[in-house]
Amino acid sequence: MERADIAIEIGKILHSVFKKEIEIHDNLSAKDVEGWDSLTHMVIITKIEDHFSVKFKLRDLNKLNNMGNLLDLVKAKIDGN
Amino acid sequence: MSFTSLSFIPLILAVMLLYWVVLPKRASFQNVLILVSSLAFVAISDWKAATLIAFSGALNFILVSRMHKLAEGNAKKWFFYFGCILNVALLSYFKYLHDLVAGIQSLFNAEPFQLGKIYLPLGISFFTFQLIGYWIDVYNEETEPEKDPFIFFTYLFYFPKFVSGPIERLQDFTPQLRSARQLHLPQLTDGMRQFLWGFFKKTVVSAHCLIFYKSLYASPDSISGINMLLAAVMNTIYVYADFSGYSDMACGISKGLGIRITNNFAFPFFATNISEFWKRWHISLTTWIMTYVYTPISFILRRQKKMGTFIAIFSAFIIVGIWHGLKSGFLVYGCLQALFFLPLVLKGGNMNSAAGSNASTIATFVRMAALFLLVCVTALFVREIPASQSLKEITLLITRATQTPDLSGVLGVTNAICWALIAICFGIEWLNRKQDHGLNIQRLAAPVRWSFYIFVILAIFFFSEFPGGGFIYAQF
Repeated sequence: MERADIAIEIGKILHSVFKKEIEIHDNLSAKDVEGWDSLTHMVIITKIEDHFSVKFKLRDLNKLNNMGNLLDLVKAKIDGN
Repeated sequence: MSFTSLSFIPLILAVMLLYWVVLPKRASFQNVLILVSSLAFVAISDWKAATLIAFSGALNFILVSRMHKLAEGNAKKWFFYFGCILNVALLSYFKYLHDLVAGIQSLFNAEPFQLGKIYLPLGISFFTFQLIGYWIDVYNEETEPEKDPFIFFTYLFYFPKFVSGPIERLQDFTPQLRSARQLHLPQLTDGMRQFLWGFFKKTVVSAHCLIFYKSLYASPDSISGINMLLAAVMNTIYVYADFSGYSDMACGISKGLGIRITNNFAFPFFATNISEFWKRWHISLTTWIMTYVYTPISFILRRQKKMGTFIAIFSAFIIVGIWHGLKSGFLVYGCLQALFFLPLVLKGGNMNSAAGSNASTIATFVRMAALFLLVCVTALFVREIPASQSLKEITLLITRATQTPDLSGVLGVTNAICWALIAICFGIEWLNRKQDHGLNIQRLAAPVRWSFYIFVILAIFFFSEFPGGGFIYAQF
């Protein structure tokens, strides 16, 4: 799966969580989205794991600073890296 | 040595003079001066603590580097557990063993075994939490182990944060030591403003609240409900003004050295819900617990959804309670704080919300006042008395709510001054609530700024009290 396609799918997941359109770009961070708190963060992570059939490690998540990092991480997981 | 002691002021001025005027503007010179000053500050305050931290720091420095060199696998994992347990064991021995033995004895009605009072090294909780965080961050590959022992020890001993924090992460702090700091006058003056504000809160507001609290609390058995509530309010403001005053002084001194450290308080009494309050109160501790306790547990339990979140919150606040000590009151306090989060978790609401508290609507003030009173009442558990005693006081507060208050303990010139000082303190903080500290008034015109400075200096001159000179959180 291409990175751009992953971004579209994550956009859909965020839409289902926040009930509004969220523009996906590499610099997007949780601080930019009202309601993206520690509770919803875990909901989003779980949905992404289920949607892409991947499993994150806490160590992976700790290194995430923005959407660009998340897209790279999901792509690496899908590609089996 | 305290920031408010007479000997500290000339010492810090001498350090600043050497730092900015005498020594060449090179990182190595500046770091040596900071390390020497810090060692002297800690050694003068508590030489045994300085020795202990020197040994503990050296051991941790070596062991973390060794762990980092190990290949991924069980050996590395067990080495990591060993390092964390070592630090927890050290903290437990000095801080918890006495209370643990006493607690077990009272639980089983065992024959009293007198464990002598164990010496509590200055700043032990703060430096141990930093070291545990360092182990975890290196293990999780969030930072490399520090290679320069001078930088590592400067980080550990750094005197503005040594006694009562903030708890800094190594990777946030040490990059500032790698290059020479240049004198930046606006930062230096802002540091002086923040120090002045902290000094005012500590020596004027906190000291008066403590006197007021003690006068109200003089006869707790016959106290009215209203007076008990007032005692709870005074106790809370006393703790806030003391600890946030210390933190402002620490940040101010550090700004004066060109080094940024975490602001531990962000006007917590202007919060309108409990989640927001904990994002504004003792920020470096809550950030530490969020990073190393809440997030890992909520990640492990992420499939349990709200139950998982609540277990993570509960665990986090148990640690907040234990951080204060192993007394029953501290544990009850932690449990209560976790319970206050339950409605937010069940609602699935936005726990990041800080909105509303900057608006001046009546509803905002009502929410603030309600939360403030809740914080005051539960803070009765954060004292060196058993939880049963605090519970008794809260019961009195409720059952005697309609009893005529003893106004002699509320009014009077001394207490009127205390009320006025509290109003002025919170009034000024409200005006500057969008700034990083209560006296950040750089944006105002010079005559207005100077009016504030003169007022605060005069208040210190006329109303400062030095009951003991120490800071409450130094005992934790």
